[in-house]
Amino acid sequence: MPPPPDSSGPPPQAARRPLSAVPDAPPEQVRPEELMRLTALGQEAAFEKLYDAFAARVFGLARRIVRDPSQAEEVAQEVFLEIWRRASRFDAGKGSATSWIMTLTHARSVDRVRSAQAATDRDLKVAQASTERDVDSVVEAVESAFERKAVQRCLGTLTELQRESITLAYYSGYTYREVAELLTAPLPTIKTRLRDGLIRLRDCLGVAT
Amino acid sequence: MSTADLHLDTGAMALGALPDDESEAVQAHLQTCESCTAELAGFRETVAMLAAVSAEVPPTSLRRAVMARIAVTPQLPPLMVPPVSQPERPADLTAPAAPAEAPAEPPADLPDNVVPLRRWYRRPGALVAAAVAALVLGAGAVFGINQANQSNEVAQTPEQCVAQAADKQTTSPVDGQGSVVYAPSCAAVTIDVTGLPDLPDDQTYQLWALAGEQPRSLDVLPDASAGQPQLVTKSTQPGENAVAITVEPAGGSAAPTLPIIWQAKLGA
Repeated sequence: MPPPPDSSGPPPQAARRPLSAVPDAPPEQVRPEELMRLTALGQEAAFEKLYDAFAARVFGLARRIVRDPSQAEEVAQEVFLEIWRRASRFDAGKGSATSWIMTLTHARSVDRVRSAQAATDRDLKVAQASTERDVDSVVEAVESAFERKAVQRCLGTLTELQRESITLAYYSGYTYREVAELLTAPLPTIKTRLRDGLIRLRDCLGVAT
Repeated sequence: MSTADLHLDTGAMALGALPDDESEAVQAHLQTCESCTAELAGFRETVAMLAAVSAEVPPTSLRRAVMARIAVTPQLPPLMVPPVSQPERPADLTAPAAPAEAPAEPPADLPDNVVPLRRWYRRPGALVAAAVAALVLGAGAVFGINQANQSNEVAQTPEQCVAQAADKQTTSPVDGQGSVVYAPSCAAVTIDVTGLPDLPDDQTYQLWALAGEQPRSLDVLPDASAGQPQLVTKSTQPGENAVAITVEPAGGSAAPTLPIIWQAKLGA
């Protein structure tokens, strides 16, 4: 899809390419692991491609967890800055760049929620109610529509209890203990649900083990 | 905790849903459990795909902000393996508060954490080894890494970075209580606000970073506004040389309402 023109004052790099939050090329063209390697060498162009490939997923996950758009933007900014700073520490032998980046995003988003939690005393019931809706509220114009469909289809193969537990843990950023509290289920039950659910998801998505 | 329980923990761990106090035991268990380690790796790749569902196009301001900041942000050097002569440490691999040792101890599920430089490092050369040793210790002190939860050690928070930074500088507010610890290497500042009076419900303290006269909102301070001490860590941007607090309407303001009631310099 063509990127929309930017109307709000392009930065210097816009001279080289149009400013857009929408990726203008499929991220698969250069593997993210290679982009990480080049980023570690200080290549801003490679980092920019990483940004294009991951901005929607990083911002979207942060938004899902912290909920407030401006805070999500702050978290996403922190995440990308950390990707830039720590690129040399990434080791493709340990896992994919996607996993590294999304793990970082999840951790930073949860950090943000937890640091704000004392002040805002987040209402668990509201969050619980909204996760159900959120799973279906997909966003168009992101690069990974195919993957998204696959994940949604595979989430649909989980039992209701498995899906509920995974959704609360991942998209709402709760610990499994908090999930157990919310669902009034024993702790080992929740651990089992999370694990069984991930086994089913993994197999459905064809993740190599 | 029984071993059976630890086997079950891979799911919660991959989802980032395992509390810190439990992840240590799991990390230790992973060292001896190959099938758990493999399962965790597969789960992590699976979990990463979940983010496709929540993807959402960010505002264009994000891209501008990120590219502007990386243009002025130095990158961390790669981690390196310490010299062979360094004493072996016991298997307390998960201790997150041992920064200088962290590079020597890859996380339990990532036993070969430093591949690119390890190859380089293994080339002979005492001088190289000495330099590497110095770098490892230096990097450890500055960027101490919490590997308890994360693959590829991405878990260090700005708080930890500031707390462990070699270049951190502590300043006190011009008049008032509390302290400010600024670490240029982390581009972050930890601010301990204390002693501010309780505010009415319709007002809040708001924290700003100042680049000369130019303010940038860092956050509102709900605890401080309730008369409690509050400790926050925030990212700083180049050129910012002070932090300040103002009283604003509840929810905070886009620009500070003067006067500044609390102010401290960043760095000495």
